[in-house]
Amino acid sequence: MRCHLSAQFARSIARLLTCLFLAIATISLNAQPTQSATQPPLALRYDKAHEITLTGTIEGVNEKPETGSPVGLHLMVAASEGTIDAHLGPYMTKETLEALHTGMPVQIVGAMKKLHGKEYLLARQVIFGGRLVQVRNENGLLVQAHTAKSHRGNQKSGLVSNGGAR
Amino acid sequence: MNFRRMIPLTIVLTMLAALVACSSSSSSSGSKSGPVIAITATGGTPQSTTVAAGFATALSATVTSNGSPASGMSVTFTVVAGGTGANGAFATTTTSDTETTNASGVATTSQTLTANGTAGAFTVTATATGATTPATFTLTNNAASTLAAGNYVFSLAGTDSGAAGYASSFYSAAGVLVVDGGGNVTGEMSFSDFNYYVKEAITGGSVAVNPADSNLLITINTGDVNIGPGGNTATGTGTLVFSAAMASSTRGLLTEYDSWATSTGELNAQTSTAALCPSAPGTPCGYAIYLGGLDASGNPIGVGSVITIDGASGAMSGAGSVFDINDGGTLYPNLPVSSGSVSAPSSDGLGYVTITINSGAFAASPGIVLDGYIVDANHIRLVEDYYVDTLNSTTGGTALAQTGTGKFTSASISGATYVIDMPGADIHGALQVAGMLTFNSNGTVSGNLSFNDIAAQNAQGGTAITGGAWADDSSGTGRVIVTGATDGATFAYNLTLYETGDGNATILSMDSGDVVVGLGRAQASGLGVSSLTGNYTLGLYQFRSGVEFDAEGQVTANAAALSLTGFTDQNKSLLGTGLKPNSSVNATYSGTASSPIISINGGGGSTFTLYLVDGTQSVVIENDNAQLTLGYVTNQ
Repeated sequence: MRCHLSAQFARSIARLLTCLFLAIATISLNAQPTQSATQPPLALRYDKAHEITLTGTIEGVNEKPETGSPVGLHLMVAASEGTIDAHLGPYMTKETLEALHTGMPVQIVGAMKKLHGKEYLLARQVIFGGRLVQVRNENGLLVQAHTAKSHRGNQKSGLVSNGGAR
Repeated sequence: MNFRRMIPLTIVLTMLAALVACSSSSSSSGSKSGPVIAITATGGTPQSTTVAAGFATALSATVTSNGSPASGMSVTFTVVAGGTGANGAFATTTTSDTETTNASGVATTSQTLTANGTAGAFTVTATATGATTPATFTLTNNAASTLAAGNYVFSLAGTDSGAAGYASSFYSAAGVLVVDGGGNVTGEMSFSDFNYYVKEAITGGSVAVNPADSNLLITINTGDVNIGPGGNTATGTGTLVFSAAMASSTRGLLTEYDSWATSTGELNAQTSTAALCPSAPGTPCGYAIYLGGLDASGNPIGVGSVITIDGASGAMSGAGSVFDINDGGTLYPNLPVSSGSVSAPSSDGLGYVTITINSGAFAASPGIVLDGYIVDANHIRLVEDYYVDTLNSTTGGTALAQTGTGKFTSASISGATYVIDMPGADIHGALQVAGMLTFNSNGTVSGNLSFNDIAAQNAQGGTAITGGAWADDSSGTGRVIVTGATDGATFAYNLTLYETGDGNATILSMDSGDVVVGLGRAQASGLGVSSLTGNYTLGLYQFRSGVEFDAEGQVTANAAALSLTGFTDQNKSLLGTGLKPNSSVNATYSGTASSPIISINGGGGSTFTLYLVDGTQSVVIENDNAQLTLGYVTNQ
């Protein structure tokens, strides 16, 4: 449920309680999200259980990776572990691309993935220059909207069957 | 010399003279006539095709020597242009094709002959050494026709350049084109991308033959500044252009074909605008549905459902209805429907309906609201109205009518094989899946599957499914749950199918690592490589470097030469290389007489796997890591 509580919390405890009540009511009414007993495709699994936080410096920004590697933006990050190839995918905005520079400190949360003998960090979250970019969701799927402006949908409700899963 | 001695000598001399005479006569005869060589056209004449399309039947000429088949003779087929400029070309050697006669004296062209862009008649001659008169084949290029007057429903899904102030986005569109006898277009459409939803009138437009080939160019005008070239700066023309490769006069495969957006879809003559399920509540009727797109946070989302209309005037009680959601890998299976409705078709005769699905799974109603455009009694094209519904996602899809609603059992699908094609997304980006899924009577699944997300894919020919199980959900809805369809190494998919009862299904993946949605089609038996022959229309959904580009066109499968030749109109605008009309297709294919899986090799090392559905349609997927291609191929 998308109640957008943070901006309203200080102003309205009553509103918070209402949201909490609705959330609890929704959770109790709804079928709960369940993970399938079977794992995702073996080659296509995001290892959420072994996420890492990588802190380093951007050594390179590569929008045209070599054939066979995941498509889209890659950051080469110099870290204590060595140089890490971090995959950010094809959905970065122009603003994000323009803001990423060699030499810039960066922190990336993600999971390592070996493809064709090479290790990649599948980035879920990237923090640089005072901004946070959500690259993937908690299941490792790339998020396809990074605009500064919002989805112009039905703001009063949203998909609530996730019980606030995201 | 006495008389008795003269008699033998006379006989001998007479015989010698006769021998010399005979010898002389024989020698004279041979130098003047020899064996009589003749050549005649015995296959492929007369025939016709649409301009720019391939001729479906190979040309055959039979050579005889003194009336008997002459094997091993060289025969040259040569194209002779017609008076109007109508002409044709062989696939590789253009003006001529030389072949050798077989034991029956028959020589057959191995290269596909393709019409040029000019209507009219032309000929091909066939000559053989010793034959004084060539064989002549009569060929006709028919002018491409535009759409006949009537209503046509279109549906598209792809990527646009974004509405004002926004980045490019997944979009979905559907609507009705009202075409008059002069090729003028009006109608209405629903459009939805991540930032903008609208249902609006199509105020003008046109249909014309693409001068580069025989596809159609359909232009629609809406006056909406948020769509069309310029739409990303709120100065849009409101004009969209579709390219249509027609499989028949009533059905075509579409791409959006302008600089603002690219997509794939279908165009169908509208044959019904009747209210859905008028026999309810006495006889409930149901629809299998899939929706795909993005949720409000930009996560890929898929919805699969069966809805059952069981009340008067399109009302749904919820009985017999169910839906599943895969929202960015977070799974919500087996959600109940509390109520719903399908509105009466619009009074303007365009066959527009509103479908509403409510559920306790949503905090508010309406849960899901869909704009529906009725194609016929069995198909409705859908665009979600996320401005009003609670799902709040940018999705589109299709509803397929069920037969035997509420009475499905495991026997409904047991033993059948479905060819599936499903685009979507996984942890690396765009994902495409195609294959064959067999529902074995012992509850296991088998078959063959290909997937590709560029970073990972299986080899050409797909991979055998060696594990997995299926079960009917036992409630009669036609919902079938497949768990763990795997090759044991590279993939393992959980899929939910929603049967129609007439050999079709909608499909949704229920995995935490991917979201794919699409269609399944029951596969016919007895298919093999020879099943791929003749003229086809194809639509291709493609990505390169994570950017969508699309194509549709026409190809000829030459079963003798195992070649595919033809053309596509490509929209590479989002790749920055613009529109590519009449791009040539040259590929070879191979397979066995008893397998419905065919390997296709294109240029530049590109490899594809084609899964035959029956003698009229197939799905195709690219297996290399250069780009993604998921296509649908249907007979002309």
